[in-house]
Amino acid sequence: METDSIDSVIDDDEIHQKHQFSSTKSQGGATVVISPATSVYELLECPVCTNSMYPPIHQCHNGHTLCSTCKSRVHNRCPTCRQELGDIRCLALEKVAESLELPCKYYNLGCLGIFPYYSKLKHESQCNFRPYSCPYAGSECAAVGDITFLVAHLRDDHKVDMHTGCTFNHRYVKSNPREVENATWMLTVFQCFGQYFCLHFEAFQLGMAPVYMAFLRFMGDEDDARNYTYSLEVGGSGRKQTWEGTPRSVRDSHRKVRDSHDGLIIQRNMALFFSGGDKKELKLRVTGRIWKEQQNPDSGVCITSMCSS
Amino acid sequence: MDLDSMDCTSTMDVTDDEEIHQDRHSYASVSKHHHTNNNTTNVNAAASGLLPTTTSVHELLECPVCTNSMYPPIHQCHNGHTLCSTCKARVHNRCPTCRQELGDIRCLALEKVAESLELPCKHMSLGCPEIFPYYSKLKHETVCNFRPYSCPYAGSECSVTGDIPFLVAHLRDDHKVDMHSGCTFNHRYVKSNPREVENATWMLTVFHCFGQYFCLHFEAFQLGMAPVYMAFLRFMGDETEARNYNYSLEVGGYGRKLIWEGTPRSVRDSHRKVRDSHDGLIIQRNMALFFSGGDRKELKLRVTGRIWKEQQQSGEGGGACIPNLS
Repeated sequence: METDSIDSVIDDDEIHQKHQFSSTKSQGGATVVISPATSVYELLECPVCTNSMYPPIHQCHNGHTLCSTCKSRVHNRCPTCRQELGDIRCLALEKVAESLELPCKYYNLGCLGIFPYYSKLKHESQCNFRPYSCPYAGSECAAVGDITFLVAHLRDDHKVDMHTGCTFNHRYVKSNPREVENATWMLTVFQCFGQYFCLHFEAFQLGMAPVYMAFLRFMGDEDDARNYTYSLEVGGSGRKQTWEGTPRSVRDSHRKVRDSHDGLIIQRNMALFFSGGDKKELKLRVTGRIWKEQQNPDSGVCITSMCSS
Repeated sequence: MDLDSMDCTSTMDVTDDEEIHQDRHSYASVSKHHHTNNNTTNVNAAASGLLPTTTSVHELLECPVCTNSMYPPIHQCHNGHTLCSTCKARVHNRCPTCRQELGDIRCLALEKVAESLELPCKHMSLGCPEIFPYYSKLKHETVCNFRPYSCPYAGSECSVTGDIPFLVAHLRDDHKVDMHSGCTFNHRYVKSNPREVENATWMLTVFHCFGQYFCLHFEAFQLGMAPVYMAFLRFMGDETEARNYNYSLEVGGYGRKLIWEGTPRSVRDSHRKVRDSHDGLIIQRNMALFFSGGDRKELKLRVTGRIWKEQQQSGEGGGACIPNLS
């Protein structure tokens, strides 16, 4: 739900566009599943909820197993044989699980690791091959996939603007700047250096103070994100504020990055000052640049940032 | 326990001047093919790498009391401590691990885990390269070609096992068995009281030829109700290799002759099994006494024999074949 839509216009100003480098990474390979481990792994699946079981694993007198969560729901009756459950533990299966090693569930996405059963979930929650969540903030979008899929998803399903280039110049216009409480979101995707970057712009309450924030997220993993640096700049009427930092991986959620204040934060009074005029309308022009860390940028005079707060 | 000790006079190539005309001259062909391919010492390093999973799961399938492998039904207490069926019957409903009441609880999960387990043969260190499902492992191990051999000495309940060179030394040093080299033999068996057949007696001689070892057995036993003497040959090695050889045993006297020709049995087959299958030269007591001559008061049998390899074309020359009159 957008009230007073923010208009994003790219102007051909004196910003010098660098040409982009295109590099494509390919991941391949799949792990062969060890068949004895597979059938033992099936034994570790709760017959009721089909989730993996973890200690304490329960069983009935006949040996039918059950996870702790389901045991508390079945009212002391075995779901398999209807016998009384009692309070019997299947210690043997817990020990079998200790000695079990299994491939990561993302092995078909390229992960070659094999992990002890009791470490598998932890690894999978941070596996570099796990699919990415949709970076579109606002709607609770549950889409997941690889970067290529998500870029198409952002373009086709969320109608996000797509741009190519390492520099950008955005104008954000809002007719009623007082309504900061209702956070609004603006997302633009940039393609440069063969990668994709998400530029976020939004308004939110920082403590009790209304602020606007712009920040960049890298569509990929944290390790790759660290190869890049970006700057964001806003100003007007003799004032300028610049943020320079490293893009955050989309592995970190939008809210996490926002709440860590990792980006350009503009207090509302300064935003109105930058907008000029009669302080009735928000007009911000945010310019920015993305570069690779290994390169030595030797262009332009660096104007020291005068930050008035 | 020897009653009226049987005197075995082993004379190689001895010809007695009796009226029996020995037409065939014995071949003293001692061909020593030293095949050093004893399978028992051929340790195949091809025992495939064990999954850490397999080893530690296998330990879970060991009964904590008797340390034998457990098979269904596997029992447990409320706390999950497992126990085999045999030990459960002995522990009077008290868990040996935590002293809690056992009850009647089955560890079905561990039984199913065992189904999916594959383990190397326990004779892996003796050369067996194979891996088997848990529930098939014991069966294989009883027939594995790499399993150690039992002592072929019959009579005493000798429980010694080992490979063939070890057992040959054991027979010579511990059982004082006569050792001979050569492919032909000529044995005299003398017993002063031939009536006592009920108490079986045993005589064992080991022959070394073709680079292999053969056990010649001679004994007396009741065949049904009839007292008989029997001589047979066993090969110190496996059945498949024993089939490469043939042997003959011959006994006779006074115009009669009995000849047995056959294939040696592997020492994998026990002495009793071979005897009870009648696979050898069987002499009824009345014929044995006839062959012994004299006043039928004393047993005097001369058994001659020969071992040859099947692949060889043994052109047996000479001698009229006298049909066996029984």
